[in-house]
Order: sequence, then structure tokens, then C-alpha cells
Amino acid sequence: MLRTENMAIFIKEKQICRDLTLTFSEGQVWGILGPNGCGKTTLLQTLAGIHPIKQGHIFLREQNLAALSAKTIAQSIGILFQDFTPVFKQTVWEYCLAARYPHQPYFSRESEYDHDIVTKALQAMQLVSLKHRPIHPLSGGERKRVAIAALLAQTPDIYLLDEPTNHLDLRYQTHLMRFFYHLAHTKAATIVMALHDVNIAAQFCDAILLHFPDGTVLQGNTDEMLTTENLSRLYQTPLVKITDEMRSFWYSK
Amino acid sequence: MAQRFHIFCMSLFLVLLSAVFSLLKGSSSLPLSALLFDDNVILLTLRLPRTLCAFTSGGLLALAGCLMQLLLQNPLADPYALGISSGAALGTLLVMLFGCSETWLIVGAWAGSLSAISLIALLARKHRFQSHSLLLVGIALGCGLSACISIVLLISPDTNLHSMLFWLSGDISETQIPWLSIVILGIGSMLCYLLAPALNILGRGEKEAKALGLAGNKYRIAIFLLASLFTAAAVTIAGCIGFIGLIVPHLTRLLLGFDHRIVLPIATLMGGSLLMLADTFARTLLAPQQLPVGIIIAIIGVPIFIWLIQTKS
Repeated sequence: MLRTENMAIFIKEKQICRDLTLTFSEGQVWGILGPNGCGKTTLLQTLAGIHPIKQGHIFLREQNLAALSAKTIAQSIGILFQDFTPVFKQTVWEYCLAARYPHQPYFSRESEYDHDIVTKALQAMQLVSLKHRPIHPLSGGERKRVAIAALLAQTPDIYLLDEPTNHLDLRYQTHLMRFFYHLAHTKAATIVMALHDVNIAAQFCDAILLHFPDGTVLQGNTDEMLTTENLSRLYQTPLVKITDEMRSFWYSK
Repeated sequence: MAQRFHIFCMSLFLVLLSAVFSLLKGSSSLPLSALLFDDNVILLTLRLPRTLCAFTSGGLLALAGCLMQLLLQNPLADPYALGISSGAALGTLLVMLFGCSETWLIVGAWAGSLSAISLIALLARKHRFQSHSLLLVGIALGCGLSACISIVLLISPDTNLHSMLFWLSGDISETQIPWLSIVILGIGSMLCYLLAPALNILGRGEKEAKALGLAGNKYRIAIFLLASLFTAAAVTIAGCIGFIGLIVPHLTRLLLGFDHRIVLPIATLMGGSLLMLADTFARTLLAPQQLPVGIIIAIIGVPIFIWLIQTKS
């Protein structure tokens, strides 16, 4: 679905990764783990076609991403940015409806179909009661849900999520993760998310990419990747694992 | 949809009302019947061109303000406050200084406003168009341009000086119908309407807009060109009038929300009405003495501007 071949990414002089070959398939939930500043955000933005690549290629359904128009990419790939502060005053509804842009023929107005999609997105994020409220005065967590609802309204099939759980309380973290887990496993969506919470990654991800600060990566199944040794090396912090009958948890020593 | 249609009709009605008011009131008031039956000399040769000038420049400034705010991703952007009007004024004065014909005025003004806005965009982009950097760059640029304007005035021959000063003070005292600017307003607002769906996501910032499929540069350049052309056209007919480009887009968004397919046309009509009304007051408050319309607008505009800065932070 979305794959990279020998990709190298730079931020100015700093190398984020080199020779990175990845394949994100339909129905998979990927977690990207790495310490602060290792380039998870840049990696996601590169996959969305926003940040340029230095070497290699990205293929979206076997078509080179560089050759596709921004609008075509936006029909398939949606990205959730880490912070979200709209400059202009607008309501939740207006903000989410504008996310239908990549699907609209240029001179047409939003149809009933678009309205239905936005309403469903708001329902999924439990925002219907806030529909006509301006975004500005909302709390951090509510705004995060607005951003996610706008992403859902965009109806991509590849979701790149940059720290989707920050600002959210425990209830919405679980709600959100279950929602995307089901989206991948029942609607064949591809989910790639940068996370800081190892335990959420262990619970919801099918595959993990460990991104080390020197630009090297390890990738594989969640069970193989999430070992105490790997994680301690990744975060440069000694970690301890506890296991109950079903799941494993890590905490720092 | 029906609601939007009502709002559009109401704005048209407001324009009509302010136009009638503007045509009939002045140092000598005319009866309503004069509009319909007489070939009144005052009406046709003095009031009509002036009313048209006011409407056109008001509409152009409001439209320019809308576009600049989205382009610079800051709701405080305004052609006057950022020194873009001064850029257009300097361009116009240079053309006047070299004694070129009137058709070149708009070219000079456009060159001036385009250079000013490009410079601001380049300088403020580094700081992600945050209010403080944007306004500081704008103020600095405005000061520099005022100094240049003073130099041009100082070296101008006395024969030109009077007309230059008169025009600079932001006064609508043209006695010709501003055909060129009317055409620019007409065609320009159509183009803006076509760009409106993209404008709704352009204001979100470069990355966000690109993520939604708006690749950017093509649209940005088109909007840069249009915004500076509108400012230039407004400045050539009315001099530097401030704050219309700030107040009108704000009020319109407050009333109508954020969809630019409706915000842009209504802002144009409201900007036109506001300047027609302000100009009428400028002519009648101390009649027979005339005040520059810029003063009336500034009296309304400055408090609103300060209030906006306060609520922003």
C-alpha cells in the first residue's frame, strides 16, 4: 500500500534516516517509537509527501509519490499533526467540512454526502454537541479530537498520526486507539503512528519501528521488537518489564 | 443556503442605501427626486464619481485585507498597517515625479505594493507569521517607506507638489469615474471567488494546506499578485486609507463564519458601503469644510485595531 525504498531524510544537515526500506500494508497498525528529537515527526511528514526526501523513493500503491499531485496524495494519505492551533476563528463544523477539500471537484459545493461523512466523523470523536462551537476556547483534548475528526472527514485510507494520544485523557486514549485498531482490522486502513507510550504500542500495534537517534532503525512484529533490551537501548534508560497472563508492561527503574 | 442568499441581498440593499445617502448628502443636500428625474450637474459630475471612488476603493481594500490575512496567516494583517499602502504610494509618487502618464500610475503603485508585501512575507515567514514579528516588520517597513516618500516630496518640483500632497492625504476628491479600478474590482472579485475554496484551507499554514492537497505556490503567487493589485488600485484613487482591510474582514467573519465563498463577496460589498458612508460623513460633518475620509475611518478603526490586538494575546 505505502512503501519506501532506500529512503534517506535530512533536516538541513542532520540525517534522520538512511537506506530505510519500509512496507506498510493494508489492515496493519504500525507504531513508531523513538526518543525525543530522533525525527519521528519528520519521518511521518515525509511519508505524507510534505517533507522532501534526499535519496530513494516512496511508492503509494506502486506509484511514485513524487509524481503524484498533492490533491491525489491527500485523497489517500491523511496526517494528524502534533500541535493544532488554528489562527482564524472557525467552528468545529467549518473546520472539519474544509477537510473534504481533496475530494471535491473544484467548483462544486459540499454535497449531502460530504455532510454525512463529517457528521459521522464528529460522532466517532463524540463531538456532535460541540459542532457549532468555535475551536479557540476548546480545551487541548477537545481540540485534539477536532483535529482527529477533521482527519476522519478527509477519509484517507492511510492514516499517519503524530502522537495521537497526547492531550487526551485515559478514556479518550483508549477510545481512540480502539477506534483506529478497528479501522485497520475491519476497513483495511493502514495506520502509522508515532507514539511515546510503550504500553499503548504493545497493546494496539501489529508492527513496530524503533527509530534510534543515530538514524538506524529496527522493525518487525510487536512481540519481537518490544523487548526490555531493545527499549532500554532506545530510550537510554533501564526499563523493567512486568507480565500478567495476557500482556506485558514496561516502566522505568 | 437560503440564509446566505438573504445575507447577500441585505448587503446589496445596504450598498444601495449608502450609495443613495452618499449621492444626496453633501454641502448642499439634494431631494430624492433629483436621483430619478434631473440631470443635476452636482450629482453627475461631482457626487457620482466620488461615490463610485469610495465604493471601489472600500471594496478593494476589504478584499485585499481578506487575502493578506490568509496569506500571512495572521488576522491582524492589513494593507495600511503593514506599510503595503505606503509601498503603493511611493510607487505612484515616483511615477508622478518622472511625469509619466496617468495609466502608468497603477503600474507604479502595483510594483510598490508587490515589493512591500513580498518583503514582509519573506521577513516574517521565518517567525511563522506571528503577530509580533509581522507587525514589527510592517511598522519598520512603513517608517522606511514614509521616509522615502518624504524624500520624493522634497525633490519634487513645486508644480507637482500640490497634487502629490493632496492625493497623499487619503482624500477621495477625484472628479473622474475610476473606470480602471472598477474593472479591477469586478474581475478581481470574480477571480477571488474562484480561489475561495482553496482559501479556506490556505489560512491553516503551509504544511496543513499541503496535507489537504493544496500544493501551494501557484495559489500563493496568484493571491500575492491579486492582494497587491487591489491595494495599488485602491491607493491610486483614494490615497492611503487605513483599517478598512482590517475591520471589514473581521466583522464579516464574525457575522458569517469562515467560508470564504461567502465572506469575500460580502466583505467587498461591506467595505464599499463603509467607505461611502464614511466619505459622506467626511463631507457633511463640518460642511462646507471637507475632512479627509481617512480621518473618519481612523477614528473608527484605531480603537477596533487596538481591541483586536488585546484580545489576540
